[in-house]
Amino acid sequence: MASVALLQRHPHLSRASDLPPPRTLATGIAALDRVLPNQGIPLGHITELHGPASSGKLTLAQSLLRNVLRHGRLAAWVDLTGTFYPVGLPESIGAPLIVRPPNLPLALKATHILLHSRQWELVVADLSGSPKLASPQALQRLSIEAKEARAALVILHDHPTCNLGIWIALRLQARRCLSPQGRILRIALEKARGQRTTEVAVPLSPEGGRP
Amino acid sequence: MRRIACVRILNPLIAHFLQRNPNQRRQPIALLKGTGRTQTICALSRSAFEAGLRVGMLPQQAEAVLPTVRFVLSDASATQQEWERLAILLERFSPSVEIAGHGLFYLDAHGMGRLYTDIRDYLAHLRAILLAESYPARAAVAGSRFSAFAATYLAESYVVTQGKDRQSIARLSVRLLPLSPSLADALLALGIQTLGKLAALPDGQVEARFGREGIEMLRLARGEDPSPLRPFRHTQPPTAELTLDGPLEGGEAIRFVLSHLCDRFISQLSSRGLACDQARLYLRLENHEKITIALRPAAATVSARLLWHLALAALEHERLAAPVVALRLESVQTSPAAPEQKPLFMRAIDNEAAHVTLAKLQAALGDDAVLVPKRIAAYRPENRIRWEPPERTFEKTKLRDPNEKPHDLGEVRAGIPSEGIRLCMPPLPMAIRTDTMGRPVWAQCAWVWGPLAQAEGPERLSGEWWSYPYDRDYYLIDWTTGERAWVFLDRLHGGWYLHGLYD
Repeated sequence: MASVALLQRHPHLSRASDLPPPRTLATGIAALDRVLPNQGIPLGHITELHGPASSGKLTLAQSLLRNVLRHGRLAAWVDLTGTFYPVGLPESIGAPLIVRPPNLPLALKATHILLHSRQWELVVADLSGSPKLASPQALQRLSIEAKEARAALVILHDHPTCNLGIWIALRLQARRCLSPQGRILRIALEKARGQRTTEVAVPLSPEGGRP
Repeated sequence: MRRIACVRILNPLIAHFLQRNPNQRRQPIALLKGTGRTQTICALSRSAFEAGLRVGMLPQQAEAVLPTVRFVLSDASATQQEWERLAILLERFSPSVEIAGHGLFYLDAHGMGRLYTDIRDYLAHLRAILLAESYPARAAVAGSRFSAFAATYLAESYVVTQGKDRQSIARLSVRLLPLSPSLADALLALGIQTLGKLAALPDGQVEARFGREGIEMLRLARGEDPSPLRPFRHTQPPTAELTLDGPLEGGEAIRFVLSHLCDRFISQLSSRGLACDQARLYLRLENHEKITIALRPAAATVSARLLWHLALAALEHERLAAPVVALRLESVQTSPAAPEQKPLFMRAIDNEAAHVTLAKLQAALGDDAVLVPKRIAAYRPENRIRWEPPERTFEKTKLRDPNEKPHDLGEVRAGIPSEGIRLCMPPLPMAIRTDTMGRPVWAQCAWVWGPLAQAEGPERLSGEWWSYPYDRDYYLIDWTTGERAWVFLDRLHGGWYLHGLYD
């Protein structure tokens, strides 16, 4: 039975979006959600997702974005590179707010403004390609705002932000590989509170997601 | 195909007691059933069990083993009410909920996985809602009631693959079956300890030896349990009650308490998908006087605020001879909530705060830097997205009901993500070497260079001859190191361009 028909016949049924807010956001990649603490990206904390260009970090972040939007929540994307393209985001699930700052300080400022408003449940700061890294002081301020807003802040970067990133609750590394079975996205769980580091391999769509 | 979910609360009677008395969690507790000399222990807390007490012991025996044990008389009606309360909570997750025993619920889970990320997510939500009520529980989904029940013994959350009920539960003990003591003893004496061994027995011999009961057990062990769910029926109308710590006097205090009562009442209605046509407010005064006020909204409502205003308006005409000690709001007539009323239950987006944020962002970065993508029909790939100012999107967001939206389920359910792409605007020139057929075999862009593992294409796109003509051969190229890009050969002006980098 289609979900809409089910809801029409039984209007009292809840969907995931109606239930009390969880402490995490599911990424929509079941294999990854199973190994993440509390089955998702933590709300109220910073998650760092790093990997070199074309490593698959954008794929993972867009999967998370899509999953948040399809649950009727607000999501924003701070696009420092100016290359955001909404592939795999049908209009029926809503659109993210895209903010295109010209440089890193303004990207951090925009992220701070978004978190401070307490309206966006997911803020993705795509700082890929930026030669500079976010300073620990900036991370500290963003971490406090994310906690107050109960929002998930996901930072995309080519390299890990810093070795002493105490403000980062979860650090994931993405790596794209070719195998005889097809293209695979390997995601390494490098740092997670109360969780052992591990790695999962996710097959990528054979269609390739053409724009 | 049927899909039945089973939710089993662990040690339900003790869990119910501890839910009401959380400060006694560390004390050894023994629940008693029966009266007088026939009293026996029917449930034990973990610490009492570890100290050596067992179900079925007499209180005197238990006291001899563990003098510090606390005996509590089991309250059957309170327990039943609690299971009904939990069943009402679970009704948000299924069209049919059956209370099958103490802390044991069966739910019709057919199609429910579509409302969540997957069926595991559904089970996780079932467990989470009970855990929020201080009830640790296990949950499983299977093709039949018994298989689902048995599967709760396999893991905290377990999904039995469709058609694999028999194999999934084969290693579990036959003691899970509703066996009579004589049949249980007979099976164990014959060495048939698991459901798998029982399921493998031939029908005729089982029937000859154990009769009809044996055949029924055989079917259950094989995962064949056609018995339907017996949905729980509400015995109580939606009611909210508040007993105050002390007598309440004064308008402001009553307004506050009434608001809380209306919220609770509407929350109960919403969990059943109902709207209030007519309700009654009962006030008990300190002098034992009882006042009844009828609340009749003009139309069926799910608004706690409307009920609150009606109650306040009615109270203005009442002269309360003494302070209020208890309040009760009971529904008299209800009707199903209309779809347009459902958004009232949704988490609201503070539109004003969102607009203030947009204004701040636009002031800091400029109007062109705060945008929302919108797909449009266009031939040229870079023109397929139009960037719009975000204000209009927020107007839509405010009105949109998430329950009405179609789900983007396909690829997400399969757990195979669509690859994200960074679109280069404008396309960047790049160096590509081709083979004799003109297909790329080596490529270099700013980030990566080297031989290619594969090149899919070409996909020829051309058009717009009336304005800015283009003619391109697009390829999806994969470097041997794993990177992937979307490139094209400009057939009009020559040269290779990087149009998108998969990341």
